[in-house]
Order: sequence, then structure tokens, then C-alpha cells
Amino acid sequence: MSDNDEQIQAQRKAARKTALIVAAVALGFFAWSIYIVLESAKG
Amino acid sequence: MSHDITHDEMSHGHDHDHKPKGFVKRWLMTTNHKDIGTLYLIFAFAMFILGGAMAMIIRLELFQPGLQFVEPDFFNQMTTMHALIMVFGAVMPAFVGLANWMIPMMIGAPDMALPRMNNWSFWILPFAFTLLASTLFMEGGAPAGGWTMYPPLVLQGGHNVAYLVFAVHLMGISSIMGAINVIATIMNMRAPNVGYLNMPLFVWTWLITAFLLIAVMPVLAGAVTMLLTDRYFDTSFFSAAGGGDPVLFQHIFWFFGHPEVYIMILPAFGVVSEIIPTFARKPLFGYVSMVYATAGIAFLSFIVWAHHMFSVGMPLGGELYFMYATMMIAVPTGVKIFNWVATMWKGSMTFETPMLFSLAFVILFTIGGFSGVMMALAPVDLQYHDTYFIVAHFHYVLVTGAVFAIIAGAYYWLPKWSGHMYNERLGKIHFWWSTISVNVLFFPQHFLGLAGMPRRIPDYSTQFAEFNMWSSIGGFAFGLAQVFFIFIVWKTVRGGEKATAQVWEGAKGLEWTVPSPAPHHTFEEFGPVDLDKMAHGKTH
Repeated sequence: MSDNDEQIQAQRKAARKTALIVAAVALGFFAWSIYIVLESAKG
Repeated sequence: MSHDITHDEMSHGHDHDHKPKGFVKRWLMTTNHKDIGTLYLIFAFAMFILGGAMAMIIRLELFQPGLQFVEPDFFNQMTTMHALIMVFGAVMPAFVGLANWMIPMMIGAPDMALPRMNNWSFWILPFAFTLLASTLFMEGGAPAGGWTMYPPLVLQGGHNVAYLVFAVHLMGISSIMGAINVIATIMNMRAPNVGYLNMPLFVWTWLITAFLLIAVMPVLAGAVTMLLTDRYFDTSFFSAAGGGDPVLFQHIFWFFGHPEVYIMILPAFGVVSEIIPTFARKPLFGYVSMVYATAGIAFLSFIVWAHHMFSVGMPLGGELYFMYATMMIAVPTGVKIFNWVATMWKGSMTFETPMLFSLAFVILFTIGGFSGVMMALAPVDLQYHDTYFIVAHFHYVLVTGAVFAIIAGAYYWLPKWSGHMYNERLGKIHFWWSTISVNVLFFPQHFLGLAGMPRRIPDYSTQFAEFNMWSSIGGFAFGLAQVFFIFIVWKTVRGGEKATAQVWEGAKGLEWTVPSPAPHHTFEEFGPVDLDKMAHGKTH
């Protein structure tokens, strides 16, 4: 693997990490939308 | 890797650019950002025509008072489906198409960060819209309760609810995956010396839009999931009879719905911010303030949602808060409008078709913005609510705003995509045809709304007849103008004058350093790029 390929692979690896964090945030918003409705139903 | 990549190096590979052979490999299995961008744009245009055909049915029925052509229930199906298709099928995918094509080239990246997920993001969409469109052929027809899907109305529409909810889930998954890809690409795949404040404004607006998508699409998904369980699993999230709260759905929907408006307009701001400096032959005025204004609009978009619900009723303090918060959006939006005007001030301006559409955008979007400020006023909103005034307002924002920006972007980048210049004379005919007809279509709707004509009703009092007739004539003419646009694009793709790499005399940016048409693979060499070639390459 050339230096160039290695650099691009390293970028993609970092990008996958970013993607996982952002996906977790998205799931959090999904859960939050259901949570506030459940909370409101209790009140 | 110490040297800056030159034009010749960047164009390396254009004569052996490894395009996959065969239709299935090239298009179905593609992981190339340019091919996926093309797929998004073609899909978005097909949906624009389908949604437009529904708009033609609406305008045909409203041409004269009385019921002429369609049943009231089918009319409501058309208004609902028109909105869903235009918002989720046409405008959003069109901007994702532009993002796919342009973002990697603008930041010196070889492709999107997650190419296989990029393929998946696109190919979910045809299934989502097949699911949605199939409801038209079901017993009971398509959803007819409006794109806002308010319960309990939407739950009374037969089994189309399940199809609608799953279609929204698929669109949402597609959008979220697209947004993740945009964020990961911009944050991780920039050429090593391209800083955040070197990025073109189109990239900035898309980065902020992607964060909006991440925050609000899951909220919509949560809301429609609860609709589904209310319909099929006897829950009562939004059913007053079971102790639930239908107004809570409206809050959740608009927590998604208001930022959604900015999801459709921020990338439009980005497109226009690329085009105006090119044809004014001046750098964008106030680049950094544009970035802050975009972020400011995005932040404010989260805290104004209940201005869509003034007529539902809320405490006076709530009305005052949402009124003032909404009016504050005019400040960063004004920063943008004034910056575009200042960019043009004393510029060596020429008026090619992309510039004409951008100028029309600035003027007509501002009209839509002003009517928005009018509706932010809680006491008078009670008069406008659910009338044609709101229909006029959001069509000025979304048609002469978002759609005009997409058309401007298509003309601007078409030579880079196809390698051919479009016919300027035909482009200008398309511009004037569209601009005159779109105003004939939507401007009279302000008067109809102020006079009290309600939206989503297929019949109306005879006092509204004349303005409706003019609006319908404008609608048919605007629809025809877009068929003409297909012809112009088709003609350009087929052939014509060869485009140079730079295409436009005043164009600046990495995308203009690669040949036209852009090679299948660009910026494959990892390394710093020549910042002098970027519009905002200098440190701010």
C-alpha cells in the first residue's frame, strides 16, 4: 500500500468514527422524541 | 508530500478514469460520488415532475369555482401527496445530489467519506416513494390529511397510514445517512491544508444543514412511529380519548418541521453564495459573517416551532416568546441578503442564466421572507392562518427560493458535469418564462388569502374566481417552462460547445481546476492543494 493509500485509509477510518458518533446522536434524538411524549402522558 | 497539487496532477486519470462497465455496475452498485450525485438529481427531477403534475390537478380544479374535475377527497390526496413528494422527493434529494457532486471536489477529497453508505442512501429513496405512491391505488386512496400528518385526522385514512409511516421512515433513514456522510466527509476528508474557514460557503451551508438533519429527522421518525402504534397497536400517544394529547404531536412535528424549512433553504443560500461572486467578479462580501449568519439561522430554527401553532392556542407568554424569537430570524437572514447585494455592488456584473436565477432568488425569496415576518406576528397570524396567504408565503420561499437556487446551481455546474455549455439563449428564455409565470401563479394568492380564501378546499366563493384563474394560468405556464428545462438539459448533455475547466471567467474554487466534464475520479493524490485557487483560500 502506497503512502497515498495509507493516508486516505487513515482519513476514512477517522470518518467512520465521526459517523458512529453522529449516528449515536441521531438515535438519541429519536429516543428523546418518544421520551417526552411518555413523560407528558404521565403528567 | 510537500508540494501543492497542480491542475495537471489533479486531473490525473481523466483519460483512464476507471468507470465501471455495464448499467448495473455503473449505476446500481456505484460508490462514486459523481454518479450518485447524478442519480439523486435525476430522481429529484422525476419527483419534481410527479409532484408538479399533482399541482397541475390542484390548479385545474381551482381554475373556476365549483367542483369540476376531481372529488374533494382526491383533491385533499393531491395537496398532501404534492407536499410530501416535493419536500422529501424533490427539494431535499436535489440538494443532496448537488452536495454529492460538488462537496468532495470543493474540499479536495477523492470521494465521500463512506461511499457504500452513500449508495445505500440513494437506493432507499425509490423504494420509499414507490411505497408512498402505491397508496394512490389502494382502497381509500392516498393520505389526505395534509403533509403535517396531524392526528386524529391522518389516522382516519384507512391503511395508507402504514405505508405513509414506513415511507417517511425510509426517507428519514436515507436523509440521516446522507447527513452523516456529509458531516464525516467535510470533517475528515478535506485536503490537509484546507481549513474550515477556507471552505466554500456551499460546503459550510451543507455542514450546518447536515447537523439540522441529524437533530430533527429522528424526531419526525419518533413522531410517526407513535402514530403507527396509535393506529395499529391501541396506544394513545396522541388520542385524547385514551388520555393522550394530539397537540403534543403538533409540537413534535414542528420541532422537526421548522428546521426542515431551513434544511431546504440553507443549501440554497450556499448555491447562491457561489454564483453571485462568480458573475459579479468579486469575492463574497462578509464571508465569515455569512458563516455565522447560517449558524445563527440554524440555531434559531430550533426555538421558534410553535409559531406554526398560534391558532391552536397557547399562553400569552408563549405567544410573545415565539413571536419575538421568530422575528429575530430576520436579522441573520438580512445579513445574508445585504452581503449578496454588497457582493454585487460595483462588481463587473454579467447576467448569464445562473446569475439571473440567483438574482430572482434574492428578490423573490425576500418577498417570501417579508410575508414570513408578517405571519410571525401572533395577533395577525390568526387572520392569515390556513388561508392562501400562507400558501403564497411558503411557495415564494420554496419555489422562488429553494427551487430557483437548484435551477441556478444546475445551470452553473452543468458544464462541469456534462463538459458542454448549455444554450444561453434557451436558458434566458427559460428564466423569463419561469420568473414571470411563477409570479402570476403565486402573487395573487396573497390577495386571496388576505380576503379569506381557505387552503386545502377544492371549491370557493365566486369573489375569488378571477385571482384563482390567473393563478392557474401562471401554474400551467410555470409547469410547461420546466418541461422546457428538461429539453435544455437533455440538449446540453447530448452535445454543444465544449466547456473549459474554469467554465466561467470569474469562477474560483478547486472544482474549477479539474477538467470539464469532471473525471470519474478527482483528487486521488493525498496532499495539500493550492489555496490561491480557492475563493476563500486566504486566512480570514
